[in-house]
Amino acid sequence: METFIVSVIFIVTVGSACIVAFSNNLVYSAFALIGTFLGVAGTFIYLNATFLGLVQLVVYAGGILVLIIFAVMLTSKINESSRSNPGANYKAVVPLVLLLVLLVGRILTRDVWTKDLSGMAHEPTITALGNLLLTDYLLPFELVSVVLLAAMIGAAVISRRKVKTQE
Amino acid sequence: MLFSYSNVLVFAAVGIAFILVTLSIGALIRPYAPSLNKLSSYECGEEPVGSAWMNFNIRFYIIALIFVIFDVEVAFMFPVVRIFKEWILEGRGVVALLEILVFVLILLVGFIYVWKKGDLNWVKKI
Repeated sequence: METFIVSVIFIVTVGSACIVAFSNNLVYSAFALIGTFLGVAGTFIYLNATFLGLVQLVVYAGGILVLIIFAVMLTSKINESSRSNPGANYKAVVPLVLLLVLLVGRILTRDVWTKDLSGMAHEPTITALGNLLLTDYLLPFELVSVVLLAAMIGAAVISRRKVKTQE
Repeated sequence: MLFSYSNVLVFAAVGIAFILVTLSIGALIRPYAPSLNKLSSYECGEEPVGSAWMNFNIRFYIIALIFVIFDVEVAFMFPVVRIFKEWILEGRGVVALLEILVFVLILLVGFIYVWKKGDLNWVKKI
Protein backbone atom coordinates (compact mmCIF):
# COMPACT_ATOMS: atom_id res chain seq x y z
CA MET A 1 0.00 0.00 0.00
CA GLU A 2 2.77 2.39 0.97
CA THR A 3 4.69 1.66 -2.21
CA PHE A 4 1.51 2.30 -4.17
CA ILE A 5 0.95 5.69 -2.54
CA VAL A 6 4.55 6.75 -3.08
CA SER A 7 4.35 5.64 -6.71
CA VAL A 8 1.18 7.69 -7.23
CA ILE A 9 2.84 10.78 -5.73
CA PHE A 10 5.97 10.36 -7.86
CA ILE A 11 4.05 9.64 -11.06
CA VAL A 12 1.96 12.80 -10.54
CA THR A 13 5.08 14.86 -9.81
CA VAL A 14 7.23 13.62 -12.68
CA GLY A 15 4.32 13.36 -15.12
CA SER A 16 3.21 16.95 -14.71
CA ALA A 17 6.84 18.09 -14.70
CA CYS A 18 7.19 16.43 -18.10
CA ILE A 19 4.10 18.30 -19.32
CA VAL A 20 5.65 21.53 -18.03
CA ALA A 21 8.86 20.82 -19.92
CA PHE A 22 7.52 19.41 -23.18
CA SER A 23 4.18 21.16 -23.76
CA ASN A 24 4.17 23.48 -26.75
CA ASN A 25 1.66 25.79 -25.12
CA LEU A 26 3.08 27.95 -22.33
CA VAL A 27 -0.33 28.21 -20.65
CA TYR A 28 -0.60 24.41 -20.42
CA SER A 29 2.91 24.36 -18.92
CA ALA A 30 1.91 26.93 -16.30
CA PHE A 31 -1.20 25.00 -15.34
CA ALA A 32 0.62 21.63 -15.30
CA LEU A 33 2.95 23.11 -12.71
CA ILE A 34 0.19 22.68 -10.12
CA GLY A 35 0.59 18.89 -10.39
CA THR A 36 4.31 19.20 -9.74
CA PHE A 37 3.75 21.46 -6.74
CA LEU A 38 1.09 19.14 -5.29
CA GLY A 39 3.33 16.14 -5.86
CA VAL A 40 6.25 17.82 -4.10
CA ALA A 41 3.93 18.75 -1.22
CA GLY A 42 2.84 15.11 -1.03
CA THR A 43 6.47 14.00 -0.99
CA PHE A 44 7.25 16.39 1.87
CA ILE A 45 4.26 15.16 3.87
CA TYR A 46 5.19 11.57 3.15
CA LEU A 47 8.68 12.27 4.50
CA ASN A 48 7.03 13.61 7.67
CA ALA A 49 8.07 17.20 6.98
CA THR A 50 4.52 18.37 7.60
CA PHE A 51 5.33 22.06 7.80
CA LEU A 52 7.33 22.04 4.57
CA GLY A 53 4.48 20.22 2.85
CA LEU A 54 2.03 22.80 4.14
CA VAL A 55 4.21 25.69 2.98
CA GLN A 56 4.59 24.01 -0.40
CA LEU A 57 0.83 23.69 -0.64
CA VAL A 58 -0.10 27.18 0.58
CA VAL A 59 2.72 29.28 -0.85
CA TYR A 60 3.68 27.44 -4.05
CA ALA A 61 0.46 25.77 -5.19
CA GLY A 62 -1.58 28.74 -3.94
CA GLY A 63 0.56 31.82 -4.43
CA ILE A 64 3.55 31.33 -6.71
CA LEU A 65 1.46 29.47 -9.26
CA VAL A 66 -1.02 32.34 -9.48
CA LEU A 67 1.94 34.66 -9.96
CA ILE A 68 3.37 32.50 -12.75
CA ILE A 69 0.01 32.26 -14.50
CA PHE A 70 -0.37 36.04 -14.23
CA ALA A 71 3.12 36.48 -15.68
CA VAL A 72 2.17 34.21 -18.59
CA MET A 73 -1.09 36.09 -19.09
CA LEU A 74 0.71 39.44 -18.97
CA THR A 75 3.17 38.50 -21.68
CA SER A 76 2.11 39.85 -25.02
CA LYS A 77 2.42 37.81 -28.23
CA ILE A 78 2.76 34.64 -26.19
CA ASN A 79 1.77 32.37 -29.07
CA GLU A 80 4.84 33.32 -31.04
CA SER A 81 7.17 32.71 -28.11
CA SER A 82 5.68 29.45 -26.90
CA ARG A 83 8.23 26.98 -28.31
CA SER A 84 11.56 26.36 -26.72
CA ASN A 85 14.43 28.30 -28.13
CA PRO A 86 15.79 26.44 -31.19
CA GLY A 87 19.01 28.39 -31.02
CA ALA A 88 19.84 27.08 -27.56
CA ASN A 89 23.54 26.67 -27.03
CA TYR A 90 24.16 22.91 -26.86
CA LYS A 91 27.84 23.46 -26.08
CA ALA A 92 26.80 25.03 -22.79
CA VAL A 93 23.82 22.77 -22.08
CA VAL A 94 25.51 19.37 -22.44
CA PRO A 95 28.22 19.94 -19.78
CA LEU A 96 25.65 21.51 -17.45
CA VAL A 97 23.31 18.52 -17.75
CA LEU A 98 26.24 16.11 -17.30
CA LEU A 99 27.27 18.00 -14.18
CA LEU A 100 23.72 17.83 -12.84
CA VAL A 101 23.50 14.08 -13.52
CA LEU A 102 26.83 13.55 -11.76
CA LEU A 103 25.71 15.63 -8.79
CA VAL A 104 22.37 13.84 -8.42
CA GLY A 105 24.12 10.47 -8.90
CA ARG A 106 26.63 11.36 -6.20
CA ILE A 107 23.83 12.28 -3.79
CA LEU A 108 21.83 9.14 -4.62
CA THR A 109 24.78 6.82 -4.05
CA ARG A 110 25.64 8.17 -0.60
CA ASP A 111 25.24 5.61 2.15
CA VAL A 112 22.96 7.78 4.34
CA TRP A 113 19.93 6.48 2.43
CA THR A 114 20.44 2.91 3.60
CA LYS A 115 19.92 3.81 7.27
CA ASP A 116 16.85 2.19 8.81
CA LEU A 117 14.60 4.88 10.29
CA SER A 118 11.52 2.72 10.84
CA GLY A 119 12.17 2.52 14.57
CA MET A 120 12.27 6.28 15.02
CA ALA A 121 9.32 8.22 16.38
CA HIS A 122 7.40 10.21 13.80
CA GLU A 123 6.08 13.30 15.44
CA PRO A 124 4.57 16.14 13.45
CA THR A 125 7.26 18.78 13.05
CA ILE A 126 4.75 21.60 13.21
CA THR A 127 4.26 21.49 17.01
CA ALA A 128 7.97 21.57 17.76
CA LEU A 129 8.39 24.31 15.20
CA GLY A 130 5.67 26.45 16.79
CA ASN A 131 7.22 26.09 20.23
CA LEU A 132 10.66 27.00 18.93
CA LEU A 133 9.44 29.95 16.87
CA LEU A 134 7.81 31.57 19.90
CA THR A 135 10.69 30.93 22.31
CA ASP A 136 14.25 30.33 21.11
CA TYR A 137 13.82 31.68 17.60
CA LEU A 138 11.55 34.61 18.36
CA LEU A 139 13.90 37.21 16.89
CA PRO A 140 14.35 35.40 13.55
CA PHE A 141 10.59 34.90 13.49
CA GLU A 142 9.92 38.61 13.81
CA LEU A 143 12.77 39.33 11.39
CA VAL A 144 10.94 37.22 8.80
CA SER A 145 8.15 39.75 9.07
CA VAL A 146 10.59 42.59 8.43
CA VAL A 147 12.05 40.75 5.42
CA LEU A 148 8.55 40.23 4.04
CA LEU A 149 7.84 43.93 4.62
CA ALA A 150 10.94 44.86 2.65
CA ALA A 151 9.93 42.47 -0.14
CA MET A 152 6.44 43.94 -0.32
CA ILE A 153 7.62 47.56 -0.44
CA GLY A 154 10.33 46.65 -2.93
CA ALA A 155 7.84 44.92 -5.21
CA ALA A 156 5.52 47.92 -5.05
CA VAL A 157 8.31 50.38 -5.84
CA ILE A 158 9.73 48.36 -8.74
CA SER A 159 6.35 47.73 -10.37
CA ARG A 160 5.51 51.41 -9.98
CA ARG A 161 8.62 52.38 -11.91
CA LYS A 162 7.75 49.93 -14.68
CA VAL A 163 4.33 51.46 -15.15
CA LYS A 164 5.94 54.89 -15.35
CA THR A 165 8.37 53.94 -18.12
CA GLN A 166 5.63 52.29 -20.13
CA GLU A 167 3.52 55.38 -20.40
CA MET B 1 5.99 3.83 8.69
CA LEU B 2 3.29 6.14 9.91
CA PHE B 3 1.48 7.79 7.05
CA SER B 4 -1.75 9.20 8.34
CA TYR B 5 -2.28 11.66 5.52
CA SER B 6 -3.11 8.93 3.02
CA ASN B 7 -6.82 9.67 3.35
CA VAL B 8 -6.14 12.91 1.45
CA LEU B 9 -5.26 10.71 -1.50
CA VAL B 10 -8.55 8.84 -1.02
CA PHE B 11 -10.40 12.15 -1.29
CA ALA B 12 -8.44 13.02 -4.44
CA ALA B 13 -9.15 9.59 -5.93
CA VAL B 14 -12.89 9.90 -5.19
CA GLY B 15 -12.93 13.38 -6.73
CA ILE B 16 -11.17 12.26 -9.92
CA ALA B 17 -13.31 9.10 -10.15
CA PHE B 18 -16.48 11.20 -9.78
CA ILE B 19 -15.54 13.36 -12.77
CA LEU B 20 -14.41 10.39 -14.86
CA VAL B 21 -17.58 8.37 -14.17
CA THR B 22 -19.89 11.31 -14.86
CA LEU B 23 -18.13 12.24 -18.11
CA SER B 24 -17.93 8.67 -19.39
CA ILE B 25 -21.61 8.04 -18.64
CA GLY B 26 -22.38 11.20 -20.63
CA ALA B 27 -20.15 10.02 -23.47
CA LEU B 28 -21.96 6.68 -23.57
CA ILE B 29 -25.49 8.07 -23.51
CA ARG B 30 -25.35 11.19 -25.69
CA PRO B 31 -25.85 11.02 -29.47
CA TYR B 32 -22.79 11.59 -31.62
CA ALA B 33 -23.39 14.19 -34.34
CA PRO B 34 -20.37 16.42 -34.98
CA SER B 35 -20.69 19.56 -37.08
CA LEU B 36 -18.45 22.51 -37.77
CA ASN B 37 -20.92 25.05 -36.40
CA LYS B 38 -20.79 23.46 -32.95
CA LEU B 39 -17.10 24.33 -32.69
CA SER B 40 -17.58 28.06 -33.19
CA SER B 41 -17.80 30.35 -30.17
CA TYR B 42 -21.25 31.63 -31.02
CA GLU B 43 -23.37 29.18 -32.95
CA CYS B 44 -25.46 31.97 -34.37
CA GLY B 45 -24.64 35.65 -34.78
CA GLU B 46 -21.14 37.01 -34.33
CA GLU B 47 -18.25 35.49 -36.22
CA PRO B 48 -15.28 35.31 -33.84
CA VAL B 49 -12.28 37.40 -34.92
CA GLY B 50 -8.75 36.53 -33.78
CA SER B 51 -7.93 34.40 -30.78
CA ALA B 52 -9.51 34.62 -27.35
CA TRP B 53 -6.16 35.73 -25.98
CA MET B 54 -5.98 39.08 -24.27
CA ASN B 55 -3.38 40.79 -22.15
CA PHE B 56 -4.11 41.20 -18.49
CA ASN B 57 -3.73 44.56 -16.89
CA ILE B 58 -0.29 44.88 -15.28
CA ARG B 59 -2.04 45.91 -12.06
CA PHE B 60 -2.93 42.25 -11.50
CA TYR B 61 0.73 41.44 -11.05
CA ILE B 62 1.43 43.74 -8.12
CA ILE B 63 -1.71 42.53 -6.38
CA ALA B 64 -0.56 38.92 -6.91
CA LEU B 65 2.86 39.83 -5.49
CA ILE B 66 1.30 41.34 -2.36
CA PHE B 67 -0.91 38.27 -2.09
CA VAL B 68 2.15 36.00 -2.10
CA ILE B 69 3.71 38.07 0.71
CA PHE B 70 0.65 37.62 2.89
CA ASP B 71 0.48 33.98 1.85
CA VAL B 72 3.94 33.44 3.33
CA GLU B 73 2.83 35.27 6.46
CA VAL B 74 -0.13 32.92 6.87
CA ALA B 75 2.15 29.92 6.30
CA PHE B 76 4.33 31.12 9.17
CA MET B 77 1.30 31.40 11.42
CA PHE B 78 0.32 27.73 11.11
CA PRO B 79 2.84 26.46 13.70
CA VAL B 80 1.77 29.19 16.12
CA VAL B 81 -1.89 28.35 15.68
CA ARG B 82 -1.06 24.69 16.27
CA ILE B 83 0.46 25.33 19.74
CA PHE B 84 -1.72 28.29 20.78
CA LYS B 85 -4.23 26.23 22.77
CA GLU B 86 -1.49 24.46 24.70
CA TRP B 87 0.13 27.80 25.52
CA ILE B 88 -3.17 29.18 26.84
CA LEU B 89 -3.55 26.13 29.08
CA GLU B 90 -0.03 26.76 30.36
CA GLY B 91 -0.95 30.40 31.06
CA ARG B 92 1.34 31.79 28.36
CA GLY B 93 -1.42 32.72 25.95
CA VAL B 94 -0.88 36.48 26.25
CA VAL B 95 2.81 36.12 25.41
CA ALA B 96 2.02 34.12 22.28
CA LEU B 97 -0.68 36.60 21.29
CA LEU B 98 1.71 39.55 21.70
CA GLU B 99 4.44 37.83 19.70
CA ILE B 100 2.15 37.00 16.82
CA LEU B 101 0.63 40.51 16.99
CA VAL B 102 4.07 42.07 16.50
CA PHE B 103 4.58 39.75 13.54
CA VAL B 104 1.30 40.82 11.95
CA LEU B 105 1.68 44.52 12.80
CA ILE B 106 5.07 44.78 11.05
CA LEU B 107 3.49 43.51 7.86
CA LEU B 108 0.47 45.73 8.39
CA VAL B 109 2.84 48.72 8.08
CA GLY B 110 3.71 47.52 4.58
CA PHE B 111 0.06 47.02 3.74
CA ILE B 112 -0.78 50.58 4.86
CA TYR B 113 2.19 51.89 2.85
CA VAL B 114 1.05 50.10 -0.31
CA TRP B 115 -2.53 51.22 0.23
CA LYS B 116 -1.65 54.87 0.90
CA LYS B 117 0.72 55.03 -2.07
CA GLY B 118 -2.16 53.93 -4.28
CA ASP B 119 -0.59 50.73 -5.59
CA LEU B 120 -3.83 48.88 -4.98
CA ASN B 121 -5.91 51.40 -6.89
CA TRP B 122 -7.06 50.18 -10.25
CA VAL B 123 -6.45 53.33 -12.21
CA LYS B 124 -3.44 55.09 -10.78
CA LYS B 125 -2.56 58.68 -11.39
CA ILE B 126 1.16 59.05 -12.04
